[in-house]
Amino acid sequence: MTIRASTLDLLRVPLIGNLLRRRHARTLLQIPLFVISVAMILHGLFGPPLAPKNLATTLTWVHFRGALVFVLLFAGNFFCLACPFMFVRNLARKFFRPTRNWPRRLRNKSLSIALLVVMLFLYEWLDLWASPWWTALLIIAYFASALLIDAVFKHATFCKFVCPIGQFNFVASTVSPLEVAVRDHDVCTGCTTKDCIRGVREPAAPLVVIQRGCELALFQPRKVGNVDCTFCLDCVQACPHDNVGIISRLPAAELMNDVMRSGVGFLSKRKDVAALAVVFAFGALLNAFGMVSPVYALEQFLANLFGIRSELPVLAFVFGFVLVCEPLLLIGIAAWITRAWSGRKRPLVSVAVRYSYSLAPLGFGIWLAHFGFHFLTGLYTFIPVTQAAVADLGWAILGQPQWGVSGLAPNVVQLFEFGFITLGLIGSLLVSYSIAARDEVVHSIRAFLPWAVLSLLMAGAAFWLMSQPMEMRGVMLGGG
Amino acid sequence: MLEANMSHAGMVPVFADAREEEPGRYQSTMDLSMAGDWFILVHVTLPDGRKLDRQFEMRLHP
Repeated sequence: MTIRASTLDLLRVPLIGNLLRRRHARTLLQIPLFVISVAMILHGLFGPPLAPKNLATTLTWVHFRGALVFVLLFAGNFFCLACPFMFVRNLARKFFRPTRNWPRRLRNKSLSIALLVVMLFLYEWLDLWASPWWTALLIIAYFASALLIDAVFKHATFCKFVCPIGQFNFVASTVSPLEVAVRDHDVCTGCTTKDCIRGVREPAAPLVVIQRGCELALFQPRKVGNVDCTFCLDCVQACPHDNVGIISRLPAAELMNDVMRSGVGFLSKRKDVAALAVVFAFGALLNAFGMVSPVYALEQFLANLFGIRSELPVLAFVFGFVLVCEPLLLIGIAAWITRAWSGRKRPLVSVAVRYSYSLAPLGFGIWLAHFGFHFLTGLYTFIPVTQAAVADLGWAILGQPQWGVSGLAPNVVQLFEFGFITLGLIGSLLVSYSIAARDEVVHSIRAFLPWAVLSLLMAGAAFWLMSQPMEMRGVMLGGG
Repeated sequence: MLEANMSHAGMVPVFADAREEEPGRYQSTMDLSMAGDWFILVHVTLPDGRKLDRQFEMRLHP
């Protein structure tokens, strides 16, 4: 198959393409984020304790999250490309070489799903958005984990099996319009060196790698989609035929196809990746729920019901219900109806796994609505916070903090929120219908209906959440 | 002067002056834009020029 000339290849776009094709493009992008990360850590630990006045909380919970989802929406997984944690890890790997392989039983998404849930839980329990100190510690923990794990284990173990942000990006980037992909498959057919996966070797010493191949075990000619792709561009650098690009594609189309994917396998056989997509989608609702008024009423109700005053067990109950019980019940019912109505005998789990991926676009729409709200309403707030941080150092070069600047008005941003959720809903409906049409030739509409209802229910919940008065909470249960 | 900040980053602080209603009693009106947890900072300049800052928290219900 040859890529059509009408597709966009970002690497062939003037300026951007020239930058990204440079050998040290990744490092060039990582250095600014690393410097900003260090500033965030220092300000988080030693700066003002109020979240709106601290770089750690402002940049992490307003700008980083918002920029992340918008870049994923309009381009692809470029945060992983510019990841500052990998900058430190790559530096460290100049001095030591890991020798161990990641344990076979952990070569799946189970650990990273658990860590993603733990992160979401800590966000609520420790009120991370309100705590510069905890936010700084979280960033330090990320750097330390990436360094430690990749110091012991070979390849990109941290990215592929551990990093919760990476897993979030992998699922979200399934709906991105760009993908690192082969330009012309005929060229790969004639390739004998397979440098995109093996790396470029020193001709005189074949064991010496002078340019890495893909550390995430994605063999370009058989790579499909963005799952597990960190956009590191090692394959671009390694390919001797200049045959790898960042190419446009139909967003979410990769969720419809169940083909063999290099480094991933068949999505329909990956229960762990399906579970990740489910946590991603239901976690979006849960995270947004934490920011609206009814969460108080629910927490208080549960506290009274169980006769407890601590927030920890109440939150654990809510998380268990929303991330485990609710998906099991709703997806179980949808899978059971699909199987019954399609008239084709298949294991229930296999139906559930196949269709669970259809929830990813809606989940992304909800994350986009939530993070987009904070990003757009607080768009310029980094300006006074940076001015104040620099002034605190005794340098008045940026002038007095302009605390009045903010961003777009919340009522304007709410329209965007509804638009993002609608876009996600349409994506989920299209994906689930496409799966049904491919899998159930005779009764595709019947097979599609339960998943359409599930998507509509979740979208309805998201619309309800986004129409609630926002309530910026940050104290313990029953306080205030 | 009073300064109100929300607990969440990305929120713009609200400023207001307080006026003396009677000796030792000050009153101020602030337009708090959103429900939730607010941190109120009180910036005081004493007659002798010394400056004091005090902080208290309040929850604004919708």
